[in-house]
Amino acid sequence: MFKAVDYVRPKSIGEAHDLFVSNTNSQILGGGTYLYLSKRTIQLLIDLQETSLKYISQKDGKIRIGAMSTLSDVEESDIFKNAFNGLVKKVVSDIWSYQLRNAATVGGTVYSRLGFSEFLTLLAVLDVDVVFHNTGVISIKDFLKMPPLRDILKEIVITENDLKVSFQVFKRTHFDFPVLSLAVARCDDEFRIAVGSRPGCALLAKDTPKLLSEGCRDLKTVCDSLIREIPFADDLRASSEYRRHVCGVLFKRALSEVL
Amino acid sequence: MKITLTVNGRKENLEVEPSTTLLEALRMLGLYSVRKGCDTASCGVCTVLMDSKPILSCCSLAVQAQGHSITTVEGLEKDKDFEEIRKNLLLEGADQCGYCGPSLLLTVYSLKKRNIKSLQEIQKYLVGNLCRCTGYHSQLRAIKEFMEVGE
Amino acid sequence: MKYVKRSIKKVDGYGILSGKPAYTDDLAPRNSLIVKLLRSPYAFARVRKIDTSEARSLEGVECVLTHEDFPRIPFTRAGQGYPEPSPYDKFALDSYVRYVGDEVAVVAAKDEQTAEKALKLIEVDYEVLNPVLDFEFSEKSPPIHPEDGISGVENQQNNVCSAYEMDIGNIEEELKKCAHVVKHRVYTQAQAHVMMEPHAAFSYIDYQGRLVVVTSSQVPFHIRRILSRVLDIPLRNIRVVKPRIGGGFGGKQAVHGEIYAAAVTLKTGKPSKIIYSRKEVFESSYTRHPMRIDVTLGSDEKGVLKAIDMEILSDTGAYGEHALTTLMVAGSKNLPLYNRVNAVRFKGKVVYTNHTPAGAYRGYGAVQGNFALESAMDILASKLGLDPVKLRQLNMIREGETSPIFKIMGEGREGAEMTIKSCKLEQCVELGKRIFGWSEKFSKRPESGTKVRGVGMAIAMQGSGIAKIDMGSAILKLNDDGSFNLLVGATDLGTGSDTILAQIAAETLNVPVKKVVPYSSDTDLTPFDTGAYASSTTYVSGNAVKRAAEKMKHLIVQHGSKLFNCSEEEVVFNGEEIIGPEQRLPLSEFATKLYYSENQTQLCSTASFVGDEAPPPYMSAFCEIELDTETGKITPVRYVAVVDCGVPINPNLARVQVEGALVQGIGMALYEEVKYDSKGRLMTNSMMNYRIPSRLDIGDIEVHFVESYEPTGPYGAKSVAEIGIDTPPAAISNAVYNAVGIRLHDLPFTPEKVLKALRVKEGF
Ligand code: FES
Ligand code: FES
Repeated sequence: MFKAVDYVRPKSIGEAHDLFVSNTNSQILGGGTYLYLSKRTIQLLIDLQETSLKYISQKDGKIRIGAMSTLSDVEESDIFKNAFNGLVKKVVSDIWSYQLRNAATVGGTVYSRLGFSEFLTLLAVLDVDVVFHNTGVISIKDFLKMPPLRDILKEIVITENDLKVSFQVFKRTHFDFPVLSLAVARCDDEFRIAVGSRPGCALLAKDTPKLLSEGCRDLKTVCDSLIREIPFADDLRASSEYRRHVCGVLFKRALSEVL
Repeated sequence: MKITLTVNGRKENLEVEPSTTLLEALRMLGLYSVRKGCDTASCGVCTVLMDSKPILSCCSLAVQAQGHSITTVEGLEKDKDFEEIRKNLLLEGADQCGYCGPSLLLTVYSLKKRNIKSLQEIQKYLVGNLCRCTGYHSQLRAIKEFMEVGE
Repeated sequence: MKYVKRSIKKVDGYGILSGKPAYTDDLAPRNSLIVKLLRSPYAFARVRKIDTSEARSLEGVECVLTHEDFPRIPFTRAGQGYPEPSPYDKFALDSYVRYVGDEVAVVAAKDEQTAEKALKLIEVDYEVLNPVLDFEFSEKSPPIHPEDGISGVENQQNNVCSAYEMDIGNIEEELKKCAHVVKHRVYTQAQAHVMMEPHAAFSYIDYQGRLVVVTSSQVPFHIRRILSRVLDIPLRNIRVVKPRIGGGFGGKQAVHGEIYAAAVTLKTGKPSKIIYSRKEVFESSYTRHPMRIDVTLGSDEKGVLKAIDMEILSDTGAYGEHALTTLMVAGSKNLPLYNRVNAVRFKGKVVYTNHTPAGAYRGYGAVQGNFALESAMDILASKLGLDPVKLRQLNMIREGETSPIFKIMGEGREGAEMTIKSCKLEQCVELGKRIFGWSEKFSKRPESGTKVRGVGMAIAMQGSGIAKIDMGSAILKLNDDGSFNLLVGATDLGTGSDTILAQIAAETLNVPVKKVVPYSSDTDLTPFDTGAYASSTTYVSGNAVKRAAEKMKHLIVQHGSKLFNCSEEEVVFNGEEIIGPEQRLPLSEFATKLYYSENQTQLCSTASFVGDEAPPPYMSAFCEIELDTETGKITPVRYVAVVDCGVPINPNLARVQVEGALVQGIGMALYEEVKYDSKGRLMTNSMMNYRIPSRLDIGDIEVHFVESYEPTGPYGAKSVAEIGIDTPPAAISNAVYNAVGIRLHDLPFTPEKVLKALRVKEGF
């Protein structure tokens, strides 16, 4: 179990940010639900619960989710009942357990780029900006490729659009991390494909969307392409080989929904 | 550090470390209904209500809980709904070792307050409440009656 | 019957659900020292040197113990009848460590953090040895137990912990004569118990200098005996108390942390407590015995079974707890199902490996054996072109019949002859078949598409306690208000046995259940009981309670006659009143008089029971699964179980026992995967990575009862605790075969394995 020496609850993001950068052994505390995964000793825990980052709002085709919103906030918000045909709500409501979703924050999930997060796989194919206090706006696409930032994630902004999205997940039991999650979004001839739980963090495919955009509709060709470009690894839930296979299956299922 | 928690409507002062879990803190206060099953957020046995929502006390910190209201079954002793779901569980024999009992009761109780009526949804919300003894079906019979849902 | 065959509420349920302090950790003194164990990081090593000086000098550390601090006394952790059939192959602490997680040293400190810190300060110089990690090669590997001074091991040099062999008839000859012979090999995994409450114990010295140990254990009397041996103190100076238990399933049928907490208390004089972390529960308590089982069946043209051969290799891990007995039960609780064969052979070996030790686990070998036998039965059925139900009906045991196996194979020794007095297996099969809609579902060939459905079935039997070994006893004490204390050594581990035993006493005395106050268990206060295992409590302890209650009734009549000054024959006790020729007295007044004014005497009855036989409960199971042919994932759809457990004393609790066991069996069949790395480290050592079924992973489960009346049981009852776990592996594997034509051999049936098998079949 991790240890912490000090704990603070700053009243503003600015204050939190200063503490975070000035203390190299500090950590931002969202819901705290994944701390048990860590074994380190942390000098300072910075709890963001009083920094007014718990909100979900919709304006001008953009949905803003404050970093301290919980996964349940997303699941229960009226905004997501309708947005993306309820897909975001559905995906989030399948994550681990109700109890966990009541505490785990959107910021915590996104910032830590949890490999097993279904949510991140879905976000990866939507038009999402990740907004940091200091660094500013980063598209999710870039964010997923960047090394960890020593900055405070404020909110994520999802642009509503008429992407056709399919989300697929394969789990061994209902109460588990996925063996694989996969999302495909389509807007006319443009495609985006993300694969998560590889078991690493969600990854966006490059070649396969191109293939699809160019009009290739041969299932075997596109599946093979995706499987080739996405790296998989072994863990306790599945071998890389099996993941590769499931990726093909889920991809086929997703395509049948968006094509 | 010194903190104040609001538990079952009472203010409680206690001395904790920043990394003390809410589970440990509540047990320090003598609230033994809060039990540890796994310490990896994987069983639900440590569930308590924070601002009326079930959370896992094994992976929440006591310090985080300041300013929120915590409820454990000790605080629901006289609550009508709580009495009813407890009774239903007893009538079905759905309390085997009972170690998971309080956590299940709290979760179901919170769903009742939210007036969730679809059985499928209820089952989904309860997926994080593992039980190794009962095989779940007796619990379901008890819960169905309590939530007033049909097949 | 007024109080049995009634689904009354559990007597302890209200308090437990209300969160009252009831479990071991709730009751431990707040100033207890925290005991932690330093555990081996290596699968096999010798401790060359161990330096505890830094740990000892850490502020807040009260004591550090190593193998040098314990007398070198061999013992077994297994809580079984004495002398145990398990070898004495373990020491409280040893200079050899034989699996990752084996105990190296004990630390006691003022709090958890200090104890953890101290663990890190202990310096151990290990000579790392080559571990034996594949049980199929164990016999050819260097010995895991080369040490002197241990006993009961079959062959230390070859790593054979136990071995057993028996035959009836001439198997080779019989098989030659058979029209059909099928051979089938299966592997089963080291399933974890995952009881929700981890192992917990605390100890202190009472004001008279006696050692008190409070522990979450299924076997308090065995704990007392083992502690007395290992700590070398007189048994009379030890008191073991069992409070409420958060589940056991066999996992608490042994000493675990008790020894170390007690040793610290003896050394320091202070209360100390040990609570296993979940990781310790997985790595260092014990598991189900993984087995490799080969079954050969032979039948005639029509499907009449003529011969059964079963050969087992079982992996007991680093120590031989329950090794011989689980091996034998794999045969003895399955082979008699088909009792009319001409020849049976059973042989097996249990070998050591450097894995987490295996031990008792609900089903106790029977589930492994059932998987092998009942899969083989289906293979035979399909060879014969026969409905699998028909094949069972043709061959299965019936009421009034017997099997020579009952006599030949007991647990660790000879068994007891038994003619089956109650067996409604035929009705179980018939009813299950009807409710499930078997005939229609079985004949319908699965449609094409990627989701295919299939149905499968299996039958099972278990036992009710261990004949001539398991003893239960009870004391009934009349109180001055006319209520009774029922003191039993039987340990309610969440099953509801306190309630059931109170119901049996109430029925016999004809008093309301609330007038019987059950208490279990405390070695100072409650009479001896071997403990809660082997499906024994209702049958064995229940019989003892019934006898004690009969005696109590007689005592009441006897003392009534004294009071009324008449003969015993003239007095009747009807539960409410004592009625004489001219007088009648309510029980409460009678009791008050008896204790305060006239013929002052405490009425107290005690009785014991040991079964001459262990009448088996039976069941049929029918299941439907859905298989995704693209991913290999199996989803349980429906499971119908029909059980003959005699007369269910409390139908609700009996049902929940079966439902719970079925789900645990479904977990074993489908989800609960055990993985070790190449160094012998258990990787699936957390609940995050060892997933047990959630409520959405089990499908619909329906449990029905066909009532029989077991004349030797209390009010016709037999046992029900284990039988439910036996069938899921076989029934599900049969359903998979019927769905897609693949035969799964290896538990659990993970999507990955299923997919592989599908591809082999398709000729990839
Ligand atoms: S103790 Fe298991 S989820 Fe908290
Ligand atoms: S009743 Fe024992 S874990 Fe649920």
